[in-house]
Parts: sequence; structure tokens; C-alpha cells
Amino acid sequence: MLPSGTFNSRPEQDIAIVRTKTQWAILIGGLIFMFTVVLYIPLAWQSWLIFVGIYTIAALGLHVMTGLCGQFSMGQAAFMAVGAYTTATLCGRYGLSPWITLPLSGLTAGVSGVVFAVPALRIRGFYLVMSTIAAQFIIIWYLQQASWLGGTYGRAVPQITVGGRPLDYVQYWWLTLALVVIAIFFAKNIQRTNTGRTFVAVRDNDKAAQVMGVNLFRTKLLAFFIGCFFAGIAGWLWAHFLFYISPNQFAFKTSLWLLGMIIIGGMGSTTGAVLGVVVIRLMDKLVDELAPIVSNAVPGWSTQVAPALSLIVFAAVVIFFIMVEPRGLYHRLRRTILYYRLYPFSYQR
Amino acid sequence: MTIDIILDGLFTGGVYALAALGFVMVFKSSQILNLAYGQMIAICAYVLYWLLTSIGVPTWAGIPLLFVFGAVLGFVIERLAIRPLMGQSFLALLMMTLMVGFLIQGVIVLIWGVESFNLPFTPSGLLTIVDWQVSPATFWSFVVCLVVFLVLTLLFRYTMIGLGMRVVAADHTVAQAMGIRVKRIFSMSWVMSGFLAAVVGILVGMVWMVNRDLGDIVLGKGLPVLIVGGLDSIPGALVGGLIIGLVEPLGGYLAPAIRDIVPWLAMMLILLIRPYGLFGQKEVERI
Amino acid sequence: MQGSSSGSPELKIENLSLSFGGIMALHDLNLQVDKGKILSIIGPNGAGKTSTLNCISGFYRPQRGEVYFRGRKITRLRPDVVAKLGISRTFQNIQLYTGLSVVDNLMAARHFLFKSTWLEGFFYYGRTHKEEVRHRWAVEQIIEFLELERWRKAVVGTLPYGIRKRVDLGRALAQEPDLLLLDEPMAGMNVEEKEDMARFILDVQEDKGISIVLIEHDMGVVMDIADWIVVLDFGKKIAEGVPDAISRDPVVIKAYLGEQASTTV
Repeated sequence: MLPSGTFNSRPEQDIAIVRTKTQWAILIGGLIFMFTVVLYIPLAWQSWLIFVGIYTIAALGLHVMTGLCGQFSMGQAAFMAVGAYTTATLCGRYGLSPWITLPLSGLTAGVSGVVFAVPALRIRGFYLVMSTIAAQFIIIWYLQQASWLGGTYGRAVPQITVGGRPLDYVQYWWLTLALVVIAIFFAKNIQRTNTGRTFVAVRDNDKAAQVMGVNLFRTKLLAFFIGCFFAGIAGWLWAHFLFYISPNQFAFKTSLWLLGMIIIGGMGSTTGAVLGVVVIRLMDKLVDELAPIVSNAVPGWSTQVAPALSLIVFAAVVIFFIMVEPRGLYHRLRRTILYYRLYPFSYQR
Repeated sequence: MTIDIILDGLFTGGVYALAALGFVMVFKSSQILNLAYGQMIAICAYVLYWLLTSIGVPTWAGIPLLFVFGAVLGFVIERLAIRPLMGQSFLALLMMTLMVGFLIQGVIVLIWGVESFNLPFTPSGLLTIVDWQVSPATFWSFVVCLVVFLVLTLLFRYTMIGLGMRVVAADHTVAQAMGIRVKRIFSMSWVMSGFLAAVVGILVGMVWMVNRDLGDIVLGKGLPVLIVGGLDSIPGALVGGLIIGLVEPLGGYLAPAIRDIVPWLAMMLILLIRPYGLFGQKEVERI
Repeated sequence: MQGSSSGSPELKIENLSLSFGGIMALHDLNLQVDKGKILSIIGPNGAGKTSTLNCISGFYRPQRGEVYFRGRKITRLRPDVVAKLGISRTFQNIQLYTGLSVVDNLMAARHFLFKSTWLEGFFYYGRTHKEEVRHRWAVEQIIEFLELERWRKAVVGTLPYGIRKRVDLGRALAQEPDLLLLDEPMAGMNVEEKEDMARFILDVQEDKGISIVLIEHDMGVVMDIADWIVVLDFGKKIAEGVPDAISRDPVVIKAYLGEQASTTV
């Protein structure tokens, strides 16, 4: 719903991502804030911020696949691994520049996604979920076995250098932020064009989509490719940030965390994906801080309080959202904004 | 490659089949995939261990108690987590069961941490059948598995409850129109699934180590078997389990490292050639 | 109608037979639609009317017989291929995207008319943007034609039944078809809504020259707007002709019109 006094008289206005001057102001202000805030926060939070960016890109990929097109993937982390290992190998072994491996990481992840999706997409139903779980386990298994990739010990990743010097946390954040903004731009563009509409059509009613000339198989495959492409990019960022990757960084648990993020944030919404990532990462950090306290409070419990608590809190939050607000935080946000737009006629919404 | 190993694989396949059966129970009646099943099995194993060692309950009493625990667990999960979400999207229910699984796993890790053990009554040594030697735990698990399958098949085919479940699986609305209490059938299928979890918990507690990865391992065997056999087929779960059980050591013989993902590879193969599983049914829809 | 038009018919069905398991849904069916005309298929429930449309659309594969569209064989083609050839349809139970707005539903229907690729879609500005705007104007014209302006942005799931049926028609029109298959477009409507719908269907035929196959139960509507009627019963064609002839045909009256015969003509 548009603010009072604003009307759309041409399609261009209706389609625009940023419509009013206020929205432009918020967008530009927000970007400036994101750009500069990193200079004033401690190292731990800088790292946190970078991870939020990385997870956001992966979550956006999941948003396109699962939120828009309804193709559930429980293997997004495995495709991040593909991207990460692509850049690690190409840069580390063959000396390619990271800037070249950036699109390549996305590509290999996208292609491997397609490979696993093809068998499952021919039939309706949730077989794709199974296929992605298989992908998760098979890919990670392979990475653990392959000694030329470092096996279970992993491998080192060359750092990104600009002007001969490696990037520090602040500069890495700027790089991440740039990629996140581009990713959001791409995702929003997909959403408002024919491709995105077709994805939603396939999700909502695939029989009707067929009658309108949509090739179901190809559309689902495309959604999957795009989603895994984003995962590959996230993997690239991950690899060059940590300097060292190993298969157990990309476990099944991470895939499920990503799924939880878009559910909490709101499926089918780019803002939702971002919100979900921020909330869950904040929650994870909170659990990390609280775990020692809880552990000391109850002596009978095992030494593994932190991971256990992390599981329990995450599960509880996702369950809460599924039961209470299945449409996610973004929906709540929209309702609140609508309340204020319609005031004092808010009861109408 | 000796017959011993083949037999061992076959018998282990029985456990896999039971792992898949729990999914089939729930899927048959309510079209829900219960991803918490692996953790349900795990916590049953842990609870039995706790009953037998910490509290000192004798084995002959502990096992029935565990059955009760499993049944109640299934009932509680259905009531609290699944019932409120009736009619919601498939993904919502799937995530819900997954999260319930996480909760259970969290509790397991919280209380027992990284401990790992076998159930105390695990038989040791080797059992000799004709010329071959197998682990007694595996053998008896297989026997239990066959018994369970027999009982369930008879139940589904010849009793009113079984008939009710099959009707509910086919069409909820029609079932209700015929006076079948659909909600009660749902409850019962979850209770049975919970009971099965207890049975499987005992078996895997003997055949494998009980540790915090148990839930994921069981899921890793049960899901591929489920797809191979067909999502809603009881004989499919048995056949699928035995096949996977046999193929695993075979794969391990060819290339030792492959053994771990043989089930997943088999699943991908089935998706390619016979997507609905060996015994599954293709749905016919009216436009 | 037969023999009165020039050239080959738009749609021709020859010896179509369809069975499900043991049930014969269609039995050696023959019919044709001439360009720019409205053919109405009527018959009791279960006569095979929707099955005929499903065979044309490509959802069902007939065991025997062929369907020709403008001389080209389209039997057993996939539904999306049939749609791209210029055949669109509405559904008895309205298949719309309930989560999308009316505009988005109509835009989605124009899917295969878009030339720009998904890669261009990433960057948006350029050909994609121009196409979006162009198709949006076309969709607006359809909205105007069907008098749906009020509900333009409404989420389809929230709309009343009669309006949704109109959106379904709009969706079929948005594909710019040459042949339109309408499956009970007036089911569940009141008299006013039916008159509006009939008016829209006639406008579609006159303004755009689209050929129409209409399945409908309301005899009054069928008699008023159809150019040619085919009557089915138990999967077989039992009569065909102009509306006047059909309403007086004793075979038809016996099978179907029966008690309505006194009220319609």
C-alpha cells in the first residue's frame, strides 16, 4: 500500500523498487550507515557483520529457490562448499585471481545444483528435498575423501589483495556489503520480472502455469541454478574471509539454519531473507554468550551446553514463528507500517 | 567377500527397514514426513540406557517401560506440534518435525553430551548359523524386524484399525464422512510410530554405538530406504531396507570409502529410474 | 456451419476416444470449430465435456483419435506447448495464483510472450524494462475490457467467486489466444453476473475474432450466444446443430433438456 497522496499513474512507477523520496532517503541513509558503522565497532562484531553478509547472500539464493519457486532445498550449505572449494583450488593451486574465481564459484555451485536437481524435478512432490539432502551428504563426503582437495583437514585459501596488501576486516566488510547490495538488486529484479512471476506461478499452481505455457521442468531447474549460484558466491566470500576451509564448516546443520532464516524472516521476500539472517545470527551470538552462564548454573548437565542450547533455542524460535507468524517477520513489519499509514482507520487492514 | 559379511549386511538391512517403517506409518495416514523420527529413536535408546544403568531397572521391566515411553512420545509430539498445524503447507510441517528433532537432539546433548555406549544387555561374541558367523545382536535385530513387519502387515490388512488407516490415507474427507475419526487415526499412527521408535532404539542401541550422532545416522539410512521402497509402502520399506543392507557391504568391498554414502547413491538411482520407489504408487489427479 | 466457412476449421477433433481404467470417457468423438465462431458443448454431468477440453489442452492423452489445430496435429502435446500455439482455457474450478494480485496473474499469463531472458532480468534496465511496461499496458487494456479496475491490486485469494471467474477469463485472454476454451465460465453466478459474462464472451468473439469452445449448463445463455451446439452424453455425440434445431431435437430433449424444455425456448 502506498503512502497517502502517492499514486501510480504509469507502469514504471508501479514496478519501481524504490518509489517515494522517503524510501530513497532511507535507502541512501541506510547504505551510508552500513558503510561507516563498521569503523566504530569491535573486531568480534565486525566479523559478525561479515558473516551476516555471507549468510544473507546464501539466504537470498534460498529465497529465490524456495521462497519464490517453492523448491525446498536442504543442501544450500553443500553448494556454498562447492563455491568455496572452487575458489580455494583455482586460486591456491592454479594461481588464478580471486576476481576471476568469483563468477566461477557461482557457476560451479549452480551447475552442481542442477546435477542433483534433475533427477528429482521430473516428478511432483517433495522428492527434491530428498535430493538436496542427498546432495548435502554426498558433496561433503566427497570433499572429505578427496585428498587433492585437502580431505577432512581442509585447505588454505589465498587472501584477496588489493594494491599488494591483504584486506583487513573493515575492507572485507565493504567488499561483502557491495556483493550483498548487488545480490539484493538481482533478487529484487528477478522478482519483478517475468522470471520471478513464473517462479511464483510454478509455486502456487503448477497446473495453471502449464496451461499458460510454462515449461515446469526448465523453470524449476533455472530457479535451482540461480539459488545455488548465490550459494557459490557466498562460499567464495566465506573462503577468502577465513583463509582456511574444511568440509565440516558446511554441514547439514548450516543448510537447516539457512532454511530457518528465511522462514523466520518471511519466505518470498528479499527483505525477509535479510531480517531472518540478522535475527538468527544475533540469537546465535546471544546463545554463545549465555551458554557458560547456563552451564555453571546447572552442574548436572554435560560439557556440551553451548551446542545443545544453540539447537534448542534455534528450534524453539523457528517453532514459535511457524505456529504464531508463519509469514515471518517481514509480514509483521508490513502490517505495522500499514497500521501507521492507515491511522486512524487501521482497523481496515 | 564372505557370506558372513553378506549375511551381516542383510540382517542390518532389517534395522534399516524398521527405520524406514516409522516414516511410512506416519506418511501413510497423514502425508507428513516425520523428520524427527531419527531423534525419537535416539532418545529412546538413551532413556533405556538411563533406566537400566542410572536407576537400575531390570531389563525385563525396562523394555516395556520404554515401549510406553515411545508411544507417549509419539502421542505428545502429534498433539503439541503437529495437530496445531493441520492444513498448513507441507514445508511448514516438514520444518516443524525437523525442529522437534532439533529440540530432542538438544536435550540429548544437554544431558548426555559426548558420552557413547552400547546398551547393557547387548550380546557379545559370535553366533554361528550353519557354517557362517554373525553378530548375535544383528541377527536378533533381524528376527525382531521380521516379526514386526509380519504383525503390522496383518494389522493393516485384516483389522478395522488397519482399514481405517488405509481409508484415511486415501482421502481424509471421505473417511470422515464414513464416520471414521480421522484425528484419532492420526494420533494412533503417531503412537505406533513412537512405539516403533522404541523398538528401533533398542535394536540400534545393540547394533551400533549410542551417541549424539545416532539420530542423524538413522535418518541417513531411513530416508534413502524410504525413497527406494516407496513412501507409503510397508513391504517397500522391508525390501528397500534389505536391498540397501546388502548393497552397502558390496559398495564397501569395491571401494571402502563409498560405504557411507551408498544409501544416498542408491536413492538417487531410484529417483532416476523409478521415482515413486519400488513399491510406491503414482498419484492420479483430476484436473 | 459445416461447409459455410472458407478454408479448414480452426479446431478439428477426429474419432477421439479416451478411457480411464475401464471407464470410457469419450467415445469416437468428432467435432470442429470454425474460425471466429462460438461452439458450445453441452450435456449432462459426466458426459465428457471437460475431458474433451483436457484432451485438447494436453492434460489427457487419448487412446485413439486426433486433435488438429489449424491443420496441425496437436494430440498428446504437452500443455505448455499447446498454450504457446495459441490455445488458452479457463477451468471449472478456477486455477489462478491465489497469492498474487489480479495484475500479476494476468502478467504471469503473458509468460511466453516475453522475449528477454532471465539473465537480462538480473540487470533489469534495458530490454526487460521496456517489455515489462509494454506488457503491463496490454494487461491494463484487458482489465479495462473486463471492468476489473477496482480489483487490480487485490490478491486473488480474497476476491469473491464471480470476480475470480472474470479474472480467470482475463488470464486466458492475456495469452492472446486464437482459440479459447471456456469450461463453465458462468457456473455459480447470478443473473446479472451471467449477463456480464455473456457480454464479455461475445465482445471477445466480435472484437478480437477469437474462436471459442464453450462448456455451459445454463441453456438460456447457450441458446443466446452459441453459433453451433454439440450435445454429448456418456462420451458420445448424440446431436449437433444450430441452437434452434437442438432445442427442438427429441433425442436431446430426452437425454438432457427434459424438464427444462418448457422454460428455455
